[in-house]
Amino acid sequence: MAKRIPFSEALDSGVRLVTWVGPAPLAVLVLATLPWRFGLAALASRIVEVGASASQYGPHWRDWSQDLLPLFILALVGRAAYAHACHQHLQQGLTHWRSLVPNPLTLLVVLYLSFAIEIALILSSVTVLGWAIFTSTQARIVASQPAFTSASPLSPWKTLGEERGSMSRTAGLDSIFAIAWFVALLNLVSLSQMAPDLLGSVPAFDPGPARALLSTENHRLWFGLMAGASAVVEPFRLAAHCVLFFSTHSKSSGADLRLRLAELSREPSA
Amino acid sequence: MSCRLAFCAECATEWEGINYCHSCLAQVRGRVRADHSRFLPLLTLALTVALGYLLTRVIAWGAGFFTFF
Repeated sequence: MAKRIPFSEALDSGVRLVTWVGPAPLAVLVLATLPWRFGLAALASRIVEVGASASQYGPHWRDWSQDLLPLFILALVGRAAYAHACHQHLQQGLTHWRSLVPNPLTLLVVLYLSFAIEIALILSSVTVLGWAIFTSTQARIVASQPAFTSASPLSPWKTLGEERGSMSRTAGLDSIFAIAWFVALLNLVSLSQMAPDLLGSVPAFDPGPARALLSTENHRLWFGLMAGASAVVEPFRLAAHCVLFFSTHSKSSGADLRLRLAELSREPSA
Repeated sequence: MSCRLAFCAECATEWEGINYCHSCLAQVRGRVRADHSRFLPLLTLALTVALGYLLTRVIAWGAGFFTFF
C-alpha cells in the first residue's frame, strides 16, 4: 500500500526541501517563470483596457499569444528543472548543478502534457472548478516527472490516469496553497500602499508619481501583484507536490531505501 | 558470440540464427528496442508542436471571449 503522509508533513517537508535544494534551482525557477507571469498580467491589463470591444481585435490577440508561447515554454522548462532538482535531492539526498538538467525526453513529455492541459484550462476557465482542476493537474505533471518513462504519445496519459487516485490529495494541497496565495497577495498590496510613504522619507524623492502608479484603482497594479504572489508561492507549492509524489512512489521504486542509506552514510561525518 | 566466451548449449539463446549469452542478447535486444522507439518520441514532438500552435489560437480566442465576463 502506498504511504499517505498528512498534508502538514508534506508542507513542512516542502519548506525544508526548498532550503535544501539551494539557491541555484530556486533562481532558475523564479527567473524562468517571471516573464510568463508578468506577460499574462500585461495581457490581462490590455484586455481590461480594451473592454467590451476586445473581440474585434483578433489579430492583436494572436500577436500577443505568439509572444507569450515562448515565455510559457521557458516557464515550463524552469519548473521542470526545479522539480527535477527536488526529486534528485529526495532520491539521493544530494544536489549537484547537473541535477538541474532534466532528461530531454521527460522534458518533451512535460511540454506535451502541459500544452494540452493549458488548452483545457483556458477553455474551462468559465468555471472556477474547471480552472482549479486543471491548475492542480499542471502542478502534478511537473512533479510526476520520474513516472514518465516513455515518450510515446499515449503512455504519459496512461501514467497521468494512474495518478488520478492521488488527485484528491493534490487538490487538498493546492487548496492550502490557494490560501497562502491570498495571504501573499494581501502582504504585497499592503507593501505597495506603504511604499510611497516609506520612499517619501528618502531625500529628493517625489512620491507623487509612485502614488498614482501604486493606487488600488490601477488594474495593472492588481495584475502585477497577483503575478508576484504566484511567484512567491510557487517554489513551496512545487516542492510540496514533489514530496507528495515521492511519498506515494518511493516504496515501489526503492528510493526510500536509497535515501535512508545516503542519510546513514552521512551521519558519522556530521 | 561478440564476447567470445564459451557457453554450454543450455545457457546460450539463439536470436536470428546466432547464439548469444545473456548479456550480449540484452545488448542486441536493447538496440532493437531503441530503433523501434525512435519514432514515437518524434510523433510526440510533432503533437507537441501542433498543440503549441493550438494553444496560441486558444489564448487569442480566450482574450476576446472572456471580456463578456
